[in-house]
Amino acid sequence: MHDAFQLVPVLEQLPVQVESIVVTEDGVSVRLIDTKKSFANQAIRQLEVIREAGLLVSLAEDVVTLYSLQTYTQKMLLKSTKGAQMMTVYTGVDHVDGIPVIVSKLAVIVKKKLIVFEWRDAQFTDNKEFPLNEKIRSFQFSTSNMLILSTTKEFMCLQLSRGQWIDLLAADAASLRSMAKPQPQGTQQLPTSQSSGSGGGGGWGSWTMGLIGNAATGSPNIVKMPDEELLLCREDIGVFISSAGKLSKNHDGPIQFSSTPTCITYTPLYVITTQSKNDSDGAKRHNVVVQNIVDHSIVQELDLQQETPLRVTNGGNGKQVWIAGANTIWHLFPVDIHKQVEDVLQICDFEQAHNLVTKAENIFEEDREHLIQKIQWLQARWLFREEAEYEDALGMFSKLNATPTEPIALYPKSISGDLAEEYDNNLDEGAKDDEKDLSVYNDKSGTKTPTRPPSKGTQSEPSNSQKSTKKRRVVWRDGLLSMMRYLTEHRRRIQKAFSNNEQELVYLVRITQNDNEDIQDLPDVPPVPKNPDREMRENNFAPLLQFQLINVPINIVAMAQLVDTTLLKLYIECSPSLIGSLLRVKNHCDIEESEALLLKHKKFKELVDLYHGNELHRKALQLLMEHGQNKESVDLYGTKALVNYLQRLPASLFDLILEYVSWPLSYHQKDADASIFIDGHKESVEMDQDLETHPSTNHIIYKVFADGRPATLNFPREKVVSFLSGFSPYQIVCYLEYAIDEWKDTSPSLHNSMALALLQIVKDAIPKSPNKSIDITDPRRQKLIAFLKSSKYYSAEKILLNLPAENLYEERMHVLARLGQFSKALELAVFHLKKLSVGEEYCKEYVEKCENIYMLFLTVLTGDVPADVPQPRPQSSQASSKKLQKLLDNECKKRLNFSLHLIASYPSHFPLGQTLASLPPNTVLQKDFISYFKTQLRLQSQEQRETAILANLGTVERFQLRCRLKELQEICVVIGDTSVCSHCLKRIGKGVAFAVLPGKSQPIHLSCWQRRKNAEAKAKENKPQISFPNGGGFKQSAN
Amino acid sequence: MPYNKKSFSKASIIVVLIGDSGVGKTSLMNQFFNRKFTEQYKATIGSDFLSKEILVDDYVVTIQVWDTAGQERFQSLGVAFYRGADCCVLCFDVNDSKSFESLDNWRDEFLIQAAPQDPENFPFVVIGNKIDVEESKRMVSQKRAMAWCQSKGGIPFFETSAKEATKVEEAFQAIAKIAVEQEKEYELYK
Repeated sequence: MHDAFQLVPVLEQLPVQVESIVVTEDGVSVRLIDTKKSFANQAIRQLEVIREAGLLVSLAEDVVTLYSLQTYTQKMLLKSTKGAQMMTVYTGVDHVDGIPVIVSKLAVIVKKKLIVFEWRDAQFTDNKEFPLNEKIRSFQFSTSNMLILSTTKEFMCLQLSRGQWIDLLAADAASLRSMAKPQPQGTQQLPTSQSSGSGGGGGWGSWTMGLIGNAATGSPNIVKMPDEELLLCREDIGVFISSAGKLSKNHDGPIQFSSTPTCITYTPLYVITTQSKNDSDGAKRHNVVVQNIVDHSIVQELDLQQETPLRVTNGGNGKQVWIAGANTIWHLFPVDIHKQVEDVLQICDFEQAHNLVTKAENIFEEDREHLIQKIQWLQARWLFREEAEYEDALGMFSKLNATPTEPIALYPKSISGDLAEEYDNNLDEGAKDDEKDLSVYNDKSGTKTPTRPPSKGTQSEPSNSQKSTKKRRVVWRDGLLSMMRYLTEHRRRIQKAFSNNEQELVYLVRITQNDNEDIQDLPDVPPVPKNPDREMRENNFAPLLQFQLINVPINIVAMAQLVDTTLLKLYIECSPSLIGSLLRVKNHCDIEESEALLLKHKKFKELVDLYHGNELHRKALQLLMEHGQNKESVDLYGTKALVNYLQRLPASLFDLILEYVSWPLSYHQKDADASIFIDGHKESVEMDQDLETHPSTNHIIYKVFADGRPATLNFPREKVVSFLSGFSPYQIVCYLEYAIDEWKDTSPSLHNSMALALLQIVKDAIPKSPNKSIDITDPRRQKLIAFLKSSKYYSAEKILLNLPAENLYEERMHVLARLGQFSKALELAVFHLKKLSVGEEYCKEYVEKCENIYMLFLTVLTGDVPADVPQPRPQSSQASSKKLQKLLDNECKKRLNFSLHLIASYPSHFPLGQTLASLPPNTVLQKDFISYFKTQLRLQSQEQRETAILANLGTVERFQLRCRLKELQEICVVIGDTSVCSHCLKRIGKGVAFAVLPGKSQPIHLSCWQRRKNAEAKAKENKPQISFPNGGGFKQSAN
Repeated sequence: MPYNKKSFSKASIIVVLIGDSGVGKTSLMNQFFNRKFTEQYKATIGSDFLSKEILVDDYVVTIQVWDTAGQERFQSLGVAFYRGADCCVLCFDVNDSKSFESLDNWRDEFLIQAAPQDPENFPFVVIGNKIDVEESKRMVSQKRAMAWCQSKGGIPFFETSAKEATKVEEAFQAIAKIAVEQEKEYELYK
């Protein structure tokens, strides 16, 4: 219940008795007939006004008289109404031949007939009569064309145009009570009656069932209601019907009065009745009862003391309600709308509050909107706090465009932080504490939140203690998830604003009078404009509505920070696996706050993402180092996470990368990785090791320096190499393989580094004991040799310096080849390595680079032993000296034989003269030497023949050219005064370049020809003979 | 022999295609649903979906594929329906390194907006499109893409060409299967 009206006596202690009262639409004043004493001789039974026709209609002395509304002078006595019992009027817009016309009607019951008078646009037009069979108790127009009437037994309607009667329903209270309720869950408890079970919407037919002639007491009554509806009453029950005579769906069933009303009227929101009852001391008391028009709940009762109300009436379609007693006239003065709203909000009837505001009179549109916003705002809060309808509550906030701070503040401190409202026994704690009696939560609602009315308790969820903690927790999780969705939507909105380069977003913000803390928490919020006038007015009322909602532009960055940070907190609470996602995408999470939160919840992996997103790389790397070494760490133990992080850094942070890659690289230092010498090692390095906590050194090098992402391509490679040289040559090789093989780097320094690193590996592999070498088939040597052979960019001199003197001759030979020192290389093969076949292979390999390499080999084989070759020491004894000589002779012989073998095998590479000259004179030529001679002779004769052919061909060509020249020289063109260009047909003047095309006798300007040539297809076969004056084989005219 | 078709309990499974603009999301759709391809590029605005019935493990499944705008300025419309998706297909162009690098971002944004119940096991599929372009222009090797998929918990990876209809059918078939399995699992969980 709340106070909808104030009862204000307007006129008291009237000297005369009020018999009738009528209120006009502008009815500020009450027109009291009695003040005009001569108005009527007897009591006026009824008064009506037909404003549109300017008439005051009075029913007195059983006749209807029309008076002027302005002067109250009699205009006309309707004689036909002699014997009138009652009357009713109607004014509305009717369409006559399609043209809207204001139609006013007056219906009068005269004895056994009904007379209807009609005015159109203030002009009297017509009257009609209808015979009546029964005594009419009450009647009203429902439309201009339809009258609803009641006898003691029945309600019926009369179609005026056709004069057709239709029975509506029985006019006894029981039948009305049995009316099917349009909304079965109506809160008004109606006593059950015989046909209460016939659910939904029933037609008229179903209620005529109830037509059992109960001894009817009182008489049926028909009363106008708002929105063209009528209320059909009998005793203490009333049924709403629409203007079409159908049961109205706008109400929760029939209206039940606490006692039979004496008078009934309405406002848009209420049904107002006067009722009388006996007081405890027996005195009769009169009450004005205000009931909600929809759910019929009693809103207010006003005491009229003991004066009997005679009439209740309203003006302007329910805008004003007047009550006339015998000597007093009261005005039912509507209580200020804010106060009314406040009252219904106190009982959480938001729907009613909304209705009140939408239908309220005397309120500025602007105020109405603001009030509706405030109601919705409160409703959203209430849905959240009291009903646990989080999704709906947040949806309402969204619709209102409320600042996200408002709903966030409803959450416990763990989520809302400093925004948290003081609120006892918040859900979060409730969810955590199983033992706690959660009903406390609902009972102890904060002062700002309205409590639920007991009367509506049946509708609300069973909030008191039945709800298990578990269920509560599930519901609370819903609350968190709803908020998550709410915030992601906001995030999207903010993102869009960012992409449109907006600086601010406008939100609806709540400002309470006492503290503006809510928005002061947000930076960059402009000072709140105050409206003292409004505040004054609202100051008079209870605190519920004591706040303002204003649109405030809020800095978008501040809002983004709030939204993202809160989202992060929600994720920590109920969806931890999304934390990483949020921190990896572009976000505005507050760094310090997020850092503290993540540390508190031990979300180190996510903390790394936070650092990365904010470019706090050193902090991230430090964290990764610490956790990488900590075996307890769940996600981050090992070097892998650190390596992965390094992979995400740009090339500009190269120094930082070097600083932090040292630890992962040195982790496996002991077992230097020889896998680089296995075929296909790259693939295995790149793929397989991703699952281990401590990836192999090579894998780290690949991932950090060489996986082909843009950063790796931009690293200073020499610096990488010099950094890696601090570890081991294996790592240099591993890295340089990518640089040289994949990225085709040709810089000499890298190739040098590669060669030296490979050499270092080989050198390290040479056994320390003297005279022992490493086998040529060793993969390490193979790799080195392959590189020395394939790379064109290393500096041979530098490598030579680093090659050991008494070892690795093969490598040296290939380096020498780079310098073109083939003889030297072959000497190495013959005298140091003493493997003549190696020399042969070497010749095969380099014969394309050096044509006479075989001859060089032969020279080495047959020549003297060079001085730098260590000779076996001549020993003192004669015998051994002899032995030595023999040995030398043997070797010499071996070399000679090999020479012959070479000559026989590669005869074409040994020119006859030189070869024979370099063989020792005493060489015995074997039989197979014949084939060598044959080959050589054949080669020479072939050469001779080829030369002869070439010479003859040359002669022929020369002859042909001469003939051609002669032919061309015979063409003669004479340029005279009349010579014109074949192209432009202009004269070929003196000193102008011209041309004659082969086969044509007409000259052409050189420029014309060039122009034409350009215009035509580019590939032109016929080349012109170009000539300039005085030039070539053309004869020029003498002028 | 008539195939004994069973129908799947859920009316349709929803698949969302996301990825940078110009990687060929719309073309993949067109190829799969209409077997058509056009060289012309027209940016998708907002989002659009096509659906058809396909057979997955004896189930008749209506697959509903949402094509989304890759360009940021057209995106605002196209995120609301992320929430109901059964499978998310991350698309990139194998000849455009950047489109591959932004997969991480697409995946994270999707997870945030969709907020699935079990983000770690939400089914993603990666499609590397435009493999018809000559090998020398290729910027993202299969190896690299697969390594990425592996690092995200073994996301299935397909290389397709919407132009030459290479592997498009297979990829969508697999996507449908994954989505159905997800849905089944979800129902079981319920």
